[in-house]
Amino acid sequence: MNHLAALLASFLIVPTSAVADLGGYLERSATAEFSGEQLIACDTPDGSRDSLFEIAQSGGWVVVWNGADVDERIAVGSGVMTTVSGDQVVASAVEASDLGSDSAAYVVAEEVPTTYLGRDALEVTIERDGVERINLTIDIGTDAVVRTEVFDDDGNTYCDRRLLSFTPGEVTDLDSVEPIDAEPATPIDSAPAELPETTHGFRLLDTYQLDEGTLSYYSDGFFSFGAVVTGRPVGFEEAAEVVVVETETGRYRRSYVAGRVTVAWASASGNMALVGDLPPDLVEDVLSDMPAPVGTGFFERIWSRLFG
Amino acid sequence: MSHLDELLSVFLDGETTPAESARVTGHLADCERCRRQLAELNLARAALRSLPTLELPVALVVPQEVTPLARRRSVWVGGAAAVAAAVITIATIVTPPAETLDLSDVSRQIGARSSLDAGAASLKVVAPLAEATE
Repeated sequence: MNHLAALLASFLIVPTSAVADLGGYLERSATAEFSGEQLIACDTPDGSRDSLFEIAQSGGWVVVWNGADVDERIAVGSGVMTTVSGDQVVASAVEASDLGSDSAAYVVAEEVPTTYLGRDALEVTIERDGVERINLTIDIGTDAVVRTEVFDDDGNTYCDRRLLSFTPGEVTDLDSVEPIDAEPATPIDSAPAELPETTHGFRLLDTYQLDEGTLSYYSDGFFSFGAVVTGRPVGFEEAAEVVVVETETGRYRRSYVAGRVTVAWASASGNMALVGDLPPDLVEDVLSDMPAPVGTGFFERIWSRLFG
Repeated sequence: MSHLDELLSVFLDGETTPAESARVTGHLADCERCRRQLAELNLARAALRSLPTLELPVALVVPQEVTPLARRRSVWVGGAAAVAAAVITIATIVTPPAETLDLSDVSRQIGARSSLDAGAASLKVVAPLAEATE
């Protein structure tokens, strides 16, 4: 009888060795065709950050826009990201020398059948270093990831990205989001010496030349971030809510939006910025391996003292 | 089913507690009415945000009260401050302002790069054009 119970349990909770890995789930989800409405709700150290938008994935492209206003939209795919705002269209394109899709740091701990928006789905629990980090809900009919929960190292939810409505199938009205041609940035051979090759499970994959500085791209197979080293002052986006954070290593400027964190600071190597989707505890870990902040200059302190 | 109504606005302001956020997201999954309401609120906020900022006519600006500085400061302190101010002013004039690195360009390039990671695009894209939280 015990054997029978164990056999039944093995069907309900599939052991790690018998299930696909994270990379497999992600690759299959990339081919899914669907549209819907997506909500990202994040609980960040600086408060809640939420975003609601329409999303469609088709033909290798993901397009998001704000409700009925398709004049404001973003299209991402195949190394190109296009931002459209009325008549203004801006695109960035990159090539990669190291795709580094190795998600070996992630272990599928559990798969549990469930339903999501009335459809059969699979809830997949994924661990990193023995800590539950990601919960994917995968629509069985299409392989689309319909919900992604990301957890901090203390088990609290950092971000919950979920589709509130889901329409499977080919999306036929995406003609207006065809990417514009953009000269792709090619990786350069050497990254700044002060940046680590690896940090807390992240690996440096590619470095790109900026107008004045470099952008180095890191990934751990799921989360990713870019590290900027530049001689220029770093300017946050106009609408960003920027918080100054003092830590043991120094002073940082930080801004969260739903699904993304940006941190900027001045180091002995120049001005630096980190932009990524990693949860707060990993941001802290990674920053500890980056060049430390330095104090502001004498004249800046004088200026600040005199004029605030 | 009771609806969220005012809590939706609080949610968009990013002022809900984690428990309230969980309640909102859970409710939205099952409630078409509240989803529509949230989308409408979000659109209205985006439209408001896109309005230009207007300068007030001078006649409407209330003049600030001017408080004279105390006169007992040492001549030396005053002199040093004047010299420092002069140095800073000259440095400001002769040094052209450095061009700022625009992080929105950097974010776009990172978005383009992460789209090359396996299956990541739909899980990575954020919508800076429709941020619900300011």
